[in-house]
Amino acid sequence: MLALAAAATLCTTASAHRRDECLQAARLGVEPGRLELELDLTPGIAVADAAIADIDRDRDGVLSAVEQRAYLERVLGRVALELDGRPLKMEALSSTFPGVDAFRHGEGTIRFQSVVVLPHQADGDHQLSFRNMDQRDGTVYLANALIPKSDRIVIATQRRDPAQRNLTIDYVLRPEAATSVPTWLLAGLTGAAVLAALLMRPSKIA
Amino acid sequence: LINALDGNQRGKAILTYRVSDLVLAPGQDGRTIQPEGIHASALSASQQTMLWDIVKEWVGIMNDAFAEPRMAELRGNLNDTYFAWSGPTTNGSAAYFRVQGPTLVIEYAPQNSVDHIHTIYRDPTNDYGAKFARR
Repeated sequence: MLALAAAATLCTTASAHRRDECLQAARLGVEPGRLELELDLTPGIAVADAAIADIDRDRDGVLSAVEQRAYLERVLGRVALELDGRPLKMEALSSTFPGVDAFRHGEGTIRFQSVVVLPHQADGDHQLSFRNMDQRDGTVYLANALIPKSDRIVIATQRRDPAQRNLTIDYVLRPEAATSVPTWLLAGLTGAAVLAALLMRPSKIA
Repeated sequence: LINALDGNQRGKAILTYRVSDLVLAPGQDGRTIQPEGIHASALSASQQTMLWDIVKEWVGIMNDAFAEPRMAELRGNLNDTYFAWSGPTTNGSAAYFRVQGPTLVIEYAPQNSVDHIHTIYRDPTNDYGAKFARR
């Protein structure tokens, strides 16, 4: 068993659910030229009805696409991103909403994903700031940097407030490796290879 | 383990923020967060033994034929393994901890009390046998 999740309780039941708080978990993936933001919102059982009411504004028991979009806009309005002190604009790339029953069992997670195209950055030190301005009672927060996929990004430090509403990532953008082949050389080599293949092709015998 | 660390080691191991739940909970397969806490290589031999004893609480769920080579693999990644703690350090208190290496994530996250624990054990390079499935 290579991945195991459990919620162990002293009761006879065991399941992975949140009870009395809403969890907002942010993960930030910094890459050269772009930032990937994932935000998960998981209301606990005790706050599920309030969370559902916050989305289901017409109270019909269905989280419609319009209500989902409006909710995400409200969530995004409470989140701020800055790169080197300049605000970044986020747009929803994708989102998934569970059914209301999953919320009521403390197992419903709203997943939101955004990709932000970063402005040109010089090689060297940079600072990315994430702020979650949501401060409702009964909400807890996580905020973490993912390990970059590119070896050009080296995360130096992560700094947070005690509640993890704010995360500042100090990172270094390393120079691009000087391994790229000049275009003219690549074109010349390709042409030579094609010519050689044509010349070496065996002629057909009639 | 946390109480076996000296002041300098605790300064590195103890996170200055609250961790309320699992960071790499179900649904986060294959994701890896930037590690934090104290390097396992900065622990003394006896502290390292404590760390591996903790890890074995999870790895040991498997039978010995699988657990022993897995523990050997994890010990081989000592220099890239971290231990992080968040919360009170008194015995019996609800505190979060994480052990993270290149092929390991263990999180222990009490939900406000030790009566309700969320925990996860992962190999982020092989979550749910993904590596085997690719073969």
